[in-house]
Amino acid sequence: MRRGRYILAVCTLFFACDEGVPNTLGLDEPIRVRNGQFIFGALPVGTAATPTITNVTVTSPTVLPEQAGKAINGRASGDASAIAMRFDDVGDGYWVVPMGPLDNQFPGELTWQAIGDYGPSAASHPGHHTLRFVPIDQNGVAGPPATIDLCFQPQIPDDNATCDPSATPPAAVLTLAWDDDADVDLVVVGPGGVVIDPKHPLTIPEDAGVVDPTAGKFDRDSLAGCVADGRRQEDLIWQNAPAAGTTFDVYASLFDACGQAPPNFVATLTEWPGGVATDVNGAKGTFTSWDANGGATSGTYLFSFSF
Amino acid sequence: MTIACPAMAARDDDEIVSADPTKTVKPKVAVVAPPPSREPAWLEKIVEPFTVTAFMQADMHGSQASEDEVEQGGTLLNQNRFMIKTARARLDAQWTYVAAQLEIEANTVHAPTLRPYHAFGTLQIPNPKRDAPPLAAASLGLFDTPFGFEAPESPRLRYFMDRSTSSRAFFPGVPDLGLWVHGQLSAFRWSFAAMNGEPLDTMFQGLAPVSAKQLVMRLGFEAKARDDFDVAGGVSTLRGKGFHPGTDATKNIVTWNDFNEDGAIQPSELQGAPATAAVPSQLFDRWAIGADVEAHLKTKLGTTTVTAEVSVADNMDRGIYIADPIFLGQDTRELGFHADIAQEITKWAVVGFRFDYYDPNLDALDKRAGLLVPTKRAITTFSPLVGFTFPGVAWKKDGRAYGKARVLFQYDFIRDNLGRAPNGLPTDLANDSWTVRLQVEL
Repeated sequence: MRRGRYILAVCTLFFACDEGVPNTLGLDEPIRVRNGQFIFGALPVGTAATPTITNVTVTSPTVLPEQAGKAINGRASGDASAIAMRFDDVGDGYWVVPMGPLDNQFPGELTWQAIGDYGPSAASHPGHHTLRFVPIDQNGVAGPPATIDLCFQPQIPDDNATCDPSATPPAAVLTLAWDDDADVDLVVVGPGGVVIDPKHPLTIPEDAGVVDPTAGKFDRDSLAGCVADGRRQEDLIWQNAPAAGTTFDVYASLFDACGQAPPNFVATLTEWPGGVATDVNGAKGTFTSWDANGGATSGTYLFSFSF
Repeated sequence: MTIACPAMAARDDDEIVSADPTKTVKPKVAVVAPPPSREPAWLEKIVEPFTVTAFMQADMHGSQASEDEVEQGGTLLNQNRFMIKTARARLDAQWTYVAAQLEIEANTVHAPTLRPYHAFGTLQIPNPKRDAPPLAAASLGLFDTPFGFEAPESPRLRYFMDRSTSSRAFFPGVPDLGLWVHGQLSAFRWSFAAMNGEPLDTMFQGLAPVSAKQLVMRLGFEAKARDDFDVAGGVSTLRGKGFHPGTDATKNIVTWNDFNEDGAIQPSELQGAPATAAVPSQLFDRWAIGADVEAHLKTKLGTTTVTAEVSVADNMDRGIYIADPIFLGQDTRELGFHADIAQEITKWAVVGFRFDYYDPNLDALDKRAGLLVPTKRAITTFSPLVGFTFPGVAWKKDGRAYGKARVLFQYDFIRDNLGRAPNGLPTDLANDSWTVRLQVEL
């Protein structure tokens, strides 16, 4: 009998203890809460009347692609110990943040803050998503949930059409994305041999300071000067379609490998027939180490397209 | 030249396993009169003072905390891997009044590395007893910090996979550059060292950012109470200066904070940060006190080894939760303790168990509801171990078998407060680990 107790004690000591919460960065999740703990599974179900969440505030309900440092602030009743949160429809678990200090303007209520980074898996699920919050007290009892609606913008810019039904998507977007911190440029040769790239960002040069409404315009020069920006993507955006029959030749140029392995790249031409994003043309490939040209050439020819 | 195997000698020849890395590496098996050889007498005379030893540890490691991911800054988080924990070759030279040691280490712990591990010369007053440590000696060079028992103990002799958590925190690498005077008087052992205070695997390893030296002292004993029972122990102290590096001067910069989160720059979102002057470096005090005891009991079953060590320290963590009171604004008090037992089962097997406790900050605070409340940061590790030994794997000479291999398995049940439970309170993080090790020694 005594031996059995010893065995039970040893087993309890080693194997029956809490297995512990997972040690993960949570980078695969649509949201990563910097000051939070990630736990796999569904949110605790609120069965008690308290604790309660009294306020949730977010600066903008729109989440930019791979946006970092987006703060969600809130308040909860004084008996709350932590706030658990996750999206209803995406992700594999929830995040826990401990309560912050008392709110002087709302006596008896505690503040909380979740600083979120939204990874690629958020941008790959563009559209509206419900972020649900559950207050939990020190005994692990969960109170009633609160929710907010956040909208993930897609990787390819659409003038917020995904998040705002009243917004009109652009006529077309030509996108070049790559997978390494190398200075890659999207280069387009337009009518008359005009070269358009991030350093010459308009398909139709300004006329006395006025931009032609049918001109395509670059949104950024990603990794310019090998300064990592986390984007690795350049977009040429036509808000309005140019004249029918206007043809463009598309190139991908490795300006500088930046000491990295030559990247893989994907080029896509996206249009919105009927308001739905559709890839109408594209190409993919891999640079080699001798493709770096410092802008001396237009780079690797990919495809041509006409409006 | 003779090839020696101290670990095997320690078992076979009833030697106490010493914390003193300069203790003879020429056990009895190594000084057996050389057999008749075709080597000329003058060559034997030249190589006779030299001893070469070597060992390597190849590990297969797994951890619950492993993740196929890179941390911010590029550190790999996968811990499920094969690695060379250490592979060392050591050359000892022993003359009457002079000795020297050069040990080279290779490992793949962080990246493939080849580096000097020990390199020091010694002037000594020899011990009349053959193969005993010198009565007094002074060493200069790169040697193990003589604090406690576990830190300077060779991993070749230790069955457990790694040093205890507190030892790894205080001494990420044990060797450091300095001057060391040490000796013995009967069973009494004494040791004083002045060192740079930046051992291997610290930020300024091999360098000395502080001119003040780290002073280390150990007073101890080694006694053979009976033919089958040895006991040793000691107390150690360390006092030194930590270094908080200053910062360079900066230029004017403009920063952008996307306050309204629209991804576009508004003038109100631009902020200027004026150039700042260089900030001077600062020093802080660090110290540690420790006590250790070791015992070996030989029975028909095999040798039982029991070890216990406790350390109390201030601002000593240089490897795990690096202590910096300049930044934190308060000293960090640490407490470490471990107790091990290893039981050899004949010469073919071994089982062991270690209890390891380390609190990196006895004054740790946790933010709860805006209040700072005392909390525990302690890490407790329970480590059962089992292994098999294969003696005499290398060669036979004069009727003796040389070389040894052993296969060890250790599981570390790690209990800590590094995670947060759903209620927001600190809780255990899933980070148990296990290791299979093949050790081959010559």
